[in-house]
Amino acid sequence: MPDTDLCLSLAAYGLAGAVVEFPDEPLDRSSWQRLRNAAFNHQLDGLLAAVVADRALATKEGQREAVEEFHADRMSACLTLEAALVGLADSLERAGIPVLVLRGPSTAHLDYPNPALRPFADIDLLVPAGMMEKAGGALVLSGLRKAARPKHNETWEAPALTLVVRQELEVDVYEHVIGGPLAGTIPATQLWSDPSSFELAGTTLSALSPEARLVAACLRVTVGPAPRLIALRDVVQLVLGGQVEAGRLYSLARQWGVQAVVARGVRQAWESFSLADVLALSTWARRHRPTAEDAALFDAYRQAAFDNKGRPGRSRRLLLPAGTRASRRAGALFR
Amino acid sequence: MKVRYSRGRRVLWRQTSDRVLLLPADDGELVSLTGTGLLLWELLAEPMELMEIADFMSATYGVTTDVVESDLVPVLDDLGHRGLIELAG
Repeated sequence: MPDTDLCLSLAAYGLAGAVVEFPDEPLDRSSWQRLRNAAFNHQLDGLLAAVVADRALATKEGQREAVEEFHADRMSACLTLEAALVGLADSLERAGIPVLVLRGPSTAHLDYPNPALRPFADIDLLVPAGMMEKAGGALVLSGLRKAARPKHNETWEAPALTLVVRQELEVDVYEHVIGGPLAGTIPATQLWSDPSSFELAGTTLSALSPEARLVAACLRVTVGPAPRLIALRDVVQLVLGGQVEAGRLYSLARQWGVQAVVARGVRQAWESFSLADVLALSTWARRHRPTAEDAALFDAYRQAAFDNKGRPGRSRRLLLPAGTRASRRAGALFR
Repeated sequence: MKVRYSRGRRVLWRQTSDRVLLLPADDGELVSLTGTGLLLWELLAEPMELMEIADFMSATYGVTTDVVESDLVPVLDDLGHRGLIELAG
């Protein structure tokens, strides 16, 4: 069974209607190691643990235990991050700085049935426009230090202030969910409308609304470097989770000029996992036709990502249709 | 008044296929519950008396209530000491 199919089956495991196939026999040592590596790189450790625990994937002696131990280690790291998040949110609140939790922890708790399915590796926070430096100051006062070299400096990403608690614990503070031209069409203030909330250790934390989370998830899938498979899974979790209200989503996407982003993100996730078009949203995504302006926008972001990375990464080669190379001309949107 | 045990409010946790990982949000060490500990953590989602927990586990595992209770007491003491569970009168 090709590695690609195996990884996609892993990423789609548990989704209603997904085509999921695993070999009947345990993988040989080399294939098993490649699967473990891919699961780590694509943040699919939780799903691999579930597949192994459910015996959907046959394992040899020792493989199941190794997956369980690794998953426990990964979840321990997530809990450490969450403990830090609770403290940081409290520090920011005391400094009078509102905060929304982006990506990992909010996705794990709001969009997955069990947060153990969705590992994450850092903390991403959104603060109101103009408050990034103040937030950084408050976090430094609470014990963090500014990173010597910020991790996120790609033009397609929103500018971030990167802080670290310890070497393995990183916090990125943003004022927007995206950089480049779309930062101009998505009003940062509207990201704060109708926030969701979740609770960690008795502390209530706020996150983007379900519709804004889906837009953000689709941005991660469609712009920038190749998405991790977990990013595609996130899109499906959001769509199937029942929290996204279609009317609100269409309205928001139209208002923010990201209809093509949402359509492409949903379509890409649906096609990657061979999901049936039984939802109005997936049908809409399949039928949506991007304009020439949309195509130029995608090209611009892709070019920006190529310029930064110099090569397509992770699964883009695997998942995107052929002939999706960016044109040099498209990069002009970023200048 | 009988003591009732429940999960600590300031505890972060994750359930994986074979264990529950517990970490106090404010300070403390990570604790891993395995085996019957998974059921214990599940039961502690709601405040329960020692006898109620022991009865449930006794019925689940086919062990006498006395044996379960004597096993449970040190575990509950330890979890309480670590701030992972709370006691209410």
